[in-house]
Amino acid sequence: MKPGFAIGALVLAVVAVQSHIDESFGEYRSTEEILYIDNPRFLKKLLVGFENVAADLYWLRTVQYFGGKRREAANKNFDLLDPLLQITVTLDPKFKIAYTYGATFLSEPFPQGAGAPSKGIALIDDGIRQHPGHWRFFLDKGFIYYWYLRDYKKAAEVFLEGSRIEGAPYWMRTTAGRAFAQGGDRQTARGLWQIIHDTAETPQQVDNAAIHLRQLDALDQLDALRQVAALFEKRTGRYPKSWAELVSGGFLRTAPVDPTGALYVLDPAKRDVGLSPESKLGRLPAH
Amino acid sequence: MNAVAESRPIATGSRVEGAGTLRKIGYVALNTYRETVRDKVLYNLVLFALLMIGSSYVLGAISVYQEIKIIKDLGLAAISIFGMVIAIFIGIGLVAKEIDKRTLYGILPKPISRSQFLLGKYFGLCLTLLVNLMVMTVGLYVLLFLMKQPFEPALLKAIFLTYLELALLVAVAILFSTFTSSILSGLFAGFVYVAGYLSNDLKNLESVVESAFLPQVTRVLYYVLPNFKNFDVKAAVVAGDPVLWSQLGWATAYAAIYIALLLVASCWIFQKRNLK
Repeated sequence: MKPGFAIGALVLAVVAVQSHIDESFGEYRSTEEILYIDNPRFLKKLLVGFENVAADLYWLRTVQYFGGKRREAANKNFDLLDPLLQITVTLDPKFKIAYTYGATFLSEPFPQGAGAPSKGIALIDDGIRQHPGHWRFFLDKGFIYYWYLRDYKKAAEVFLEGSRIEGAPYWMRTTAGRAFAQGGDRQTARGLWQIIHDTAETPQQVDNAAIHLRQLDALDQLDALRQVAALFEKRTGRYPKSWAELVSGGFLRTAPVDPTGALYVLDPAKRDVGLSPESKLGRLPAH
Repeated sequence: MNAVAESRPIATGSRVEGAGTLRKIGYVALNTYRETVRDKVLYNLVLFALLMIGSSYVLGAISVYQEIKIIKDLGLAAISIFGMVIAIFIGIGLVAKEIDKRTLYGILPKPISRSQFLLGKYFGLCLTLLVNLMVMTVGLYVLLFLMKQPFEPALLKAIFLTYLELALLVAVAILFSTFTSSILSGLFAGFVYVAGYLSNDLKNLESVVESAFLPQVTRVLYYVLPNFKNFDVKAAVVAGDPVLWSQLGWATAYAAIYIALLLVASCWIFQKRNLK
């Protein structure tokens, strides 16, 4: 037998056996979620001269972990998210995007994120200590206070603090004023998300901000639809049973769809309108 | 075939002794370089190319728009790691191999001193590392160009300092190889590399221990061990932070002095060594 043929056959045999093992015993060999070294400073000492590339590997692992957890349907937790981020930014304190993204991953409400805005703020504070002249971190921190913690006064203080940094855009100060005076107001929230959208550093941040802007549009549309339903009830003495009824009655031109194209749901039993389960907008905020 | 045995006959009675010495060192260096090329040391460049091309494809999908940063980090780290492996593993064998194969005994009667031989070996390996680094640097820049990135001269600063670091590491490896076996030389050189990276901690130790004696020992160690941190600006250049020319100048001066010190010590030990 020729050596080349033998090698090819043996490679195929290895692939076949491995596939069989995965199919037959995969469930017994699930990867254990563990951090072998959870002390970032110790790890940094071990990686003499190669901390940066290790930080990149930990960042990739963080992104994979977060993305994987987000897709999990049951028994979901984000226990390793904060330690992974701590290791990443300790190994490479200049990794600015890890602070910004990491804080968002941590602050997003469960189950979309870890639901731990205090940890998100701690991470951003670490970033501010490392890069005191980076105004963007103040925008991120203020945003967490505003959007996730609804602490509008604190958000305004953080925006104001960031506005004093050299090179900070003029709107940081006006944003601080709006957050302080009109905290909780949907228009203020829309303005904030528009800022996040316009100052985004990556396409993913743009997409994320765009989704939130669409959610706010959906909240406006739902308010308008509730008014239409209320008007129908006032005129007919009963709550509408379907969109078709509202269209045929001249209250609406067509059946309403949300900004992602999914039909809104009219629920006569609850006497309310809402998002379709098929909508790509996710859970709407309370603003 | 060994490095010196196949070199051209070395002229005796040169008009200028210094020029003759340099020529002899140059012959050994050139032959050492050819020997490393014949030993397929530069095959690591294929691995480097595969690593970089592979990562550029994979990272785009999984790094959340950080692929350029990661490519730069990975490229600089790979340049450093491949160079380090060559510096240590080839460096420790430069002299030992000649002794083990007994080819050194054919050289010693020729009109070339042990110091010239040793220095030739050192500069030959430095030449191999230089060619290696230059090819990898071009590879990294080509990849970044293909990823539509503008030319970033700052990366060259990090690569230049990496070269100095490797040149220093070769000198460390050669020093150990003049008086001990290859395995121990490799271990010692590796230990010095790690200790040299952590030497800042030795200096800081005096602020955390109460002993009066220990801080003095660690302070001496801090200055005696080569401080490899002086050459590590990889993080700064990737983050876009400025690396001052003066920093490069001082690091170069440090490397030159330390390498000279190690080579003088190596030559002295090698002269004294009983090779019979």
